[in-house]
Amino acid sequence: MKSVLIVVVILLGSLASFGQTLSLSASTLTTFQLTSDPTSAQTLSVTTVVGGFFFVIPQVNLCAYMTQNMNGAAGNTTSIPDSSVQLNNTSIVTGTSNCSVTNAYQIANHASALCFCTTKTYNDSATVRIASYPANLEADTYTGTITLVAVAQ
Amino acid sequence: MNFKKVVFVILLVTLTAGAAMAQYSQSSTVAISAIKGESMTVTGAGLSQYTIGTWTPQTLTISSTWNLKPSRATVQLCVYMGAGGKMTGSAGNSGVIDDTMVQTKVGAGSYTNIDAGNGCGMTGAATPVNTYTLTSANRVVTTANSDTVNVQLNSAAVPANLEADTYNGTLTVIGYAQ
Repeated sequence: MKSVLIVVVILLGSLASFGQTLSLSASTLTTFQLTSDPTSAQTLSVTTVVGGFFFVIPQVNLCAYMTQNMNGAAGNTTSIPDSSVQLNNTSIVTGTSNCSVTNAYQIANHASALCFCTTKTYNDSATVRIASYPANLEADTYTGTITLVAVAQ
Repeated sequence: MNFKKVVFVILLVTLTAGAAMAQYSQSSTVAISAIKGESMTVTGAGLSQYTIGTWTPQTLTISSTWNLKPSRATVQLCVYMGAGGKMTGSAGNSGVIDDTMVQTKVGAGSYTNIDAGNGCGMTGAATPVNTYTLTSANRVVTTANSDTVNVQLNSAAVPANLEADTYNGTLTVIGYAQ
């Protein structure tokens, strides 16, 4: 009888995956001053909330990536390569696939676990800085986008 | 196979199936920006002491570098002494060589008062030496530009009764981007 109960619980846990939720939020970054190389670092805080499971927390993998360089104003032919953006002192362009994204940097990987809860919140962080950027950058404001992706399974 | 084993197998299959079905993802973006500030250096060199009475012109060399925003269109280089500027002697010597007695000449032009021209945001107050039109090719200048302007003391204007002394003053070189 006890075993049957366990089976029911696990079944519910698995079936509940159809209603699982995942939310992602992050802090903002202030403008980096290109007065040193590398620049001073900032902390990017990321909160991931996974819910809708039943006793079994799925594995949650958190990654960051960029798909474009940081560009300046029109007419500025120089740019900051995405490879110059570093997370935890490592280029965000990793050359490897993480979170099913090519060249993504893995910020965290939380293993699947049992939990008597319905939601689980993860607070992760990574330092961000710009390093080894071109010496001949024109005076300008350069902008880009870091994409964060969380994958639960 | 007893009941417990059956349950274990069911558990494994269920977990595996559940996990396989459950992959899902969420994404978010974070803006990242960086500023490279503007910079400019301008220095002047080349003038040695004039000998009053000989009136030999000298060449002032202006060296300049910069890194400017794409929105900038030009950089103008100028030299001036400034209204009220003067070369003065030792204490007790009231004689001066003021800015009306210093002349400049750019290229093949003729000598005019150093503070008579328009340039670098000043009207009738400076000598414009050169104007650079900025393009993507010269918005960043790390190897210094070299521009020259001839400078002389106006023999017709320097008082003939100046006391024997050493007279010192200051010329200002300026880079003006806009």
